[in-house]
Amino acid sequence: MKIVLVVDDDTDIRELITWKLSQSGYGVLAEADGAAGLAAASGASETAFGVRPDLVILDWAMPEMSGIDVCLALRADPSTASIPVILLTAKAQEAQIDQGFAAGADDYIVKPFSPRELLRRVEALLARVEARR
Amino acid sequence: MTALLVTLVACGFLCGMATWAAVGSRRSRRQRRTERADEVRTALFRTLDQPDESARIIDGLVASDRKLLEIKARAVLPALRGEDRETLARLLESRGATDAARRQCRSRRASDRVAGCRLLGDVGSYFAVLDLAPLLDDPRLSVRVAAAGGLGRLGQPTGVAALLAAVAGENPLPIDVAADAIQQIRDWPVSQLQPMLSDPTGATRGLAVELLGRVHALDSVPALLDILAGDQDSEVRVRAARALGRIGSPRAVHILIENVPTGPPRLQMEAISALGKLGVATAVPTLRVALLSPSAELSRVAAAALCTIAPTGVELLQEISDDDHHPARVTAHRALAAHAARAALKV
Repeated sequence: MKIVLVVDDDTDIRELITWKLSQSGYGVLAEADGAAGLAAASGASETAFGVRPDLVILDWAMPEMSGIDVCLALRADPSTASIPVILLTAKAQEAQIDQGFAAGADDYIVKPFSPRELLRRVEALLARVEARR
Repeated sequence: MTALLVTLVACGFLCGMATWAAVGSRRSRRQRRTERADEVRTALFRTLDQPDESARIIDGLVASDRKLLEIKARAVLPALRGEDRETLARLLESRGATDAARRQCRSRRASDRVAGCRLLGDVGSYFAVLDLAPLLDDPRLSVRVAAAGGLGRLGQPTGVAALLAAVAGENPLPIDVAADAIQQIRDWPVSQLQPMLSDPTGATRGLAVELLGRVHALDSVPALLDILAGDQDSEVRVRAARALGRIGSPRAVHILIENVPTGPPRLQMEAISALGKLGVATAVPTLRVALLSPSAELSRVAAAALCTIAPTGVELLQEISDDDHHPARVTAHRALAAHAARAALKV
């Protein structure tokens, strides 16, 4: 079972994505802030139980540690550098999208978003990673 | 003495029991609330997966939970698009949310009208345009802005005409608010902006110019050049300079350069920014002069523009930054540092 880590401070959105992914057969770890998300990605958090996610869905605007900061930290750590990251954010300006990819995101989805499209993108990204192995 | 001691111990025991019971009850209340919220959330998500079953799922909830589900649906709705959004909008409509929003739009209180516009934008159908469009002329700016936002979120092309007209109304809508709303609407004909470029009202011309820049309308460059050269409204010329920078046509370089030393301050600023976006080396001498402007803001914008012109612009800034006696040394140094920080982020 593929594990997806969802990091979003909006409880309803986090739960919605968790529900959609779980219904499609993914294992889901959910965290409400950047620091906890980073710990979960490296398998160090209480909820992760040492399990590393196969993919991370990150919100950008979170208090204290933003999604961009988490993404940069993931890329800087050799143990998490190869985990695919999808940024899910309301920031839709061209420069912001550039910044997201520059921070190491593999995909960028602008809110309002379609949960079905998000699911397809997760599937596509995981399939690409699988094919590269 | 013994009796007193027994009484004290009994009182202490009873107090302890009461505290324990109170904490326990508070904890169980909190737990019940959490469980209830989880239950409602699950019901909401099930309605997304099984829209045909939504009525049955909702009927299975108690009345207070149905209300909670409605609140949750309203909270999630703005973040969604596509089929799930439509399912939620239909669900809210079936619960009477659209009618409630319509009533709010007609309220005497401005805050109610604002709330109604927001909700109609989220849950409204095609016909909500008819409720929102008249509010673009509301005497209160907050209501006009909310109505524009609602029309944008509604995404119906039929709302575009009302938004285009609203900037020149008796109670005008700010151009950027109208442009933001129109940008959210897909599938509207850009060609309807061309005749607006010769409209007698400056705000209408300004909105057309703004939108043409935002949609990168390459075929509108000749018209935008004419506006930059000779429009009587300096605000429209400022927007034309910005639009030309966004579109990125090299044909605009000459006229933008001409406007840097001679235009009004805001036009100078936009012309410099646009030259930076175009990134052409021919602009470097003009930007070098602008760097020495007595206006600190103009000088800062010129330095930022030079940073984007590699290698000549960057080399010039480096040279100035290294010259201890150059008056723009600090500005050049700061611009280079900001540029390096951005570049490092990209690596």
